[in-house]
Amino acid sequence: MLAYTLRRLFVMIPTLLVISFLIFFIIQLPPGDYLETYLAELQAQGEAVDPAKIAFLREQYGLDRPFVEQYFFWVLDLLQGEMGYSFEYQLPVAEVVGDRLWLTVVLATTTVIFTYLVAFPIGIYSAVRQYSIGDYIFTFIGFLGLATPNFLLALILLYLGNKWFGTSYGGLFDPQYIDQPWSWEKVGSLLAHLWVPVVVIGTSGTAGMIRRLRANMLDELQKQYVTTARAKGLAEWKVIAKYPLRLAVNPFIADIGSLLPQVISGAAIVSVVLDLSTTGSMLVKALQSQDMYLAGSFLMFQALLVVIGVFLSDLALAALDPRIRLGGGATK
Amino acid sequence: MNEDRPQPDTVFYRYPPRSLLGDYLRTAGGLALGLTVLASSGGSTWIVGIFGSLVLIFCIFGLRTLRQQFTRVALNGQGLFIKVLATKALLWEDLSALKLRYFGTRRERRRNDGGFLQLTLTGSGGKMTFESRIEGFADIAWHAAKAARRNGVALDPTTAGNLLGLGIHADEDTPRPAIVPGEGA
Repeated sequence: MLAYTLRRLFVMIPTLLVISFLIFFIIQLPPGDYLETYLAELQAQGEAVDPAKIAFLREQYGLDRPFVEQYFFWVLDLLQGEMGYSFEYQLPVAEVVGDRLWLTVVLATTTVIFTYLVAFPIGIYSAVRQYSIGDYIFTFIGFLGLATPNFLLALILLYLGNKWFGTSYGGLFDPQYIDQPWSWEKVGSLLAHLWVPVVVIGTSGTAGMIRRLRANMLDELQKQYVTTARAKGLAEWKVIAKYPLRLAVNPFIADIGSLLPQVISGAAIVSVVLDLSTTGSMLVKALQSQDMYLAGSFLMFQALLVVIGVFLSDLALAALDPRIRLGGGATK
Repeated sequence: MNEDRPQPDTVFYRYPPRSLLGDYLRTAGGLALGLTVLASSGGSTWIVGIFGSLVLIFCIFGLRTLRQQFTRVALNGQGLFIKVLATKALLWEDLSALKLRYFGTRRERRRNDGGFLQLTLTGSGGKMTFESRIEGFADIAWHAAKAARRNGVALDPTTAGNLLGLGIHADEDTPRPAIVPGEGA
């Protein structure tokens, strides 16, 4: 397992380097740079701009350097924990970002846990009690969850929260805790607000997971070894838990890798609608204004989360299912 | 694959150096990256923590690969003998556990290609672990499965299934795999 873990860990390094190059390349693809966007904005407002000042700023920010050089320095800084300088905020990215990165991690992790906690029992129930009233109800809710866009669900919850409880569930904190140092009251406020984005972002993933687990379980339950186990008089819960569930859960575990990008990309739009102080809304703004170091740092952070998610899912899969497929082969 | 073909009494296996090249490159790459960042980190605590751990992990990985390069295995009807610095023996009559596990990424599993097998044998002298890239891996597994059957060692379904993947039936005699020096399983 150690050898596998280390080899797998090593795959992450070139993966992240390739991702970093792609991110930097794509951010630079639109014509012009931040300063040109800034210049155009000032000119549109009728303000005079000194070309010498723009040239000075371009040199100051390193925007006059070749693409490869800019990329090299950016990656080197990232490796040292320096995320660069935000043009728009005129501050180092680390200061602009503040707690947003960690709040994004908290939100993504809670959403994944929520997804699994809800999908796991419902998926098993729906498979074991196939075509029961409960199965129909959960299937209906599942399809509803799959078909409803996250941002629409966010708007509906905001409206209902306001109408029924007379309070706004937007944001991650009560207004008095925003930009305040961390305290137990602030943590309490975070927990009180967290459930709305978690439900909104997690619903579609949960619905998809229920469908997949149900289908996997049904496949396994129809196999002969289950009939044999029942014929031998094994208790029903033991029949289900010992073999079909263990096999059905494999794709479920493997989904961690694909769930994280889904959660993070879903969170970007939802964070704008719900006014969340996560990376999503700031990323959208940074991309619009070509604030490349800010956008690049966010995207690299999200890529890191995804790569770690896939790494963890591969490890879990190797531990849970160390079987080779018949007819296939190990090549090394 | 023919059982009545004369087999040498004792056969010798090792990890082909070419198969270890990838792990040496991984070690070099991991160490180069980790040390470069450490050298230019300016002493930031969390950078030193993360990349220091990375350097340590890749050092262990490199030493492990080096150990594999110097591993020599002798196999015969009596048992299995490994020589790295000292010699370690596992007699077949002492075999008390056998585990065969497959490790592969999701993509390798999906494509049915890649990954590796790991054989863990337990006897009175301790544990021995082999990766499928060692020469004669299938032969070692065949001997181990035979000894497990003789000693009444219970195999878990995963091990039995993986043995079947190598063409070895856990419950009945199967022909001894052909000995092809220089090739892993």
